[in-house]
Amino acid sequence: MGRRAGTLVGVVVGVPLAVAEALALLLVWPPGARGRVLALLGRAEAARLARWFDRDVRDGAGRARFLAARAVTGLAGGYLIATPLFVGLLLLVGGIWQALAGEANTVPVVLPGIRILTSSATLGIANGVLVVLVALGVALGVGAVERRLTYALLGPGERERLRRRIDELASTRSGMLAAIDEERRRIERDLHDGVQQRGVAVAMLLGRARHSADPAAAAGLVDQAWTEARGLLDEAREVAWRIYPTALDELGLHAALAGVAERSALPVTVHHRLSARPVSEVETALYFVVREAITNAVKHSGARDVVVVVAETPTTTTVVVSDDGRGGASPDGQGLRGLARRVSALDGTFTVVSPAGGPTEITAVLPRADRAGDS
Amino acid sequence: MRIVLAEDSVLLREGLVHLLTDAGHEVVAAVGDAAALLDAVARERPDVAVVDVRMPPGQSDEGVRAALRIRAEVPGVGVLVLSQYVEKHYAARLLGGAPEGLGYLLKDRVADVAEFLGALQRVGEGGAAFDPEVVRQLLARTSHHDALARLSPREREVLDHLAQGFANQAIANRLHLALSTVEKHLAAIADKLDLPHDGDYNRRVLAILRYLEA
Repeated sequence: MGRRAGTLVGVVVGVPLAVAEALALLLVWPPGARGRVLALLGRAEAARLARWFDRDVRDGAGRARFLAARAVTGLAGGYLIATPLFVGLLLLVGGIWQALAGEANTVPVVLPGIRILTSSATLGIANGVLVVLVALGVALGVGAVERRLTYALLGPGERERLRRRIDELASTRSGMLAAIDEERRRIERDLHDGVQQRGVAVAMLLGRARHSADPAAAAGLVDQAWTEARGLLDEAREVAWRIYPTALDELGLHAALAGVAERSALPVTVHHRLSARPVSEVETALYFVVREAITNAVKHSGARDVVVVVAETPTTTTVVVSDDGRGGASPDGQGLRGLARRVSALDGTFTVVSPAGGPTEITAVLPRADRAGDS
Repeated sequence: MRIVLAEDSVLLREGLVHLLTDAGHEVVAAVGDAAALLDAVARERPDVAVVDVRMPPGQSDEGVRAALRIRAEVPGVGVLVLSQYVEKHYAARLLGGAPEGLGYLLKDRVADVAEFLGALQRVGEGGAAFDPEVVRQLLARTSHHDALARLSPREREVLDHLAQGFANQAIANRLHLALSTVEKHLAAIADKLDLPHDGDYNRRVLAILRYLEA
């Protein structure tokens, strides 16, 4: 009710303001004066919107376009409210006057199936209340129209924008934490399933060799352990590389992507069209998008070919990874979800287009941020 | 002994089969997940089931759950659980019943072939085998620090071996003590910790583990 009452007051205050705005726009002013008057009215509008409509529009309220639209809705609204209000009050006052003065007549009310005899005073008061309520309803309607108009012409206010930004940051922040945990789980699995098992296997082979009474058998076991140990080293190197490729820092995105392409089980063509090195977090995001997309293509798509394009505009850095596979990639898969979180934490957008039957196209667009003094 | 082996890493499974076979045991089934393990145990009624904790499909504690089912449903089968990490929590769950024919070892211990085979033997014969690391964690987290502080260093060593599941003679051998000395230490430990003097091996191991767990 508080908010509605506020809207009503706001609408009522808006009517004389609309008259002033119409005059300001229609009258002929000395040079320069119109601008000052419009600015003044803009401030009044902003104050009105802040006070009764909970809107924060510091800039733009003084623009002629907004004030013109406001003048029209304000005047039309004022007329639509004033007319029923006038009629209603007339009926109310008349009814009350008759009741107090005892001048009421008996009036028959005939409706289909109903026939009532009532006094003209009662009838007047009842109709008066009804029409006044209609006027209030119209006023609330005008308030709603004004709300929408303000939003359409002035956009979200500063406070609204900040609130949205805070929501967005809170959600990307928790998304980032979830992505970090997910990543750690993956690393643990990699270590557990690969490195640790091989480590145990090597130790077990050497243990059997030590335990063995037969020198020839022991030598064979040591040989096997040696082979396993080399496999263990490969595995450890592979896991370390999957966690973070140091080539990315040392040699840059182009070289790191070339490395990914070389290791891939599918032919991957990389088109690198950046004029400068992006900042580290953007480079890392681009890199992991490409790697995950290629991993997905290799695992699930049945593609024969993958194309990676890294490109830039003055404001964005974009990577597109497309394959000619059977499509159907779900953006809710663990890997892709992690990438989406990483990209949105950098205020970027991440899209997966993968209709059944293919092809799949994964795109990440990031705000451009190049390294200082690097080209 | 007849052994059923459950380990999802093919590499380790094959290694363990060789190790056990070389030692003269018979691996009657080697499987890669908990469901196959339960089938094999019900079918083969082995002396011991050697069970990896982390197995498909969930890769979490399937092995522990399977071990508990085996102990509840197929009595007489020893269960030796192998784990990549020591989880006191797993140990506590496994110790819910008697420690008879129960082992819980770090996977790395298979490298120490003689120790591993010894533990397997104990479990197969109805004894207990708990990883030194499990015992270390139990000792570190127990609420009985004051009572334990009253033990002499030698008595601490004996207690440690006792909790790992070694019998008196084995403790004597490992610590290079006479059997009578070990028995004297055991009596002193029982006094100092206010535990029952009880000759029965399993009840003694259970008592000490329960004591440390509290």
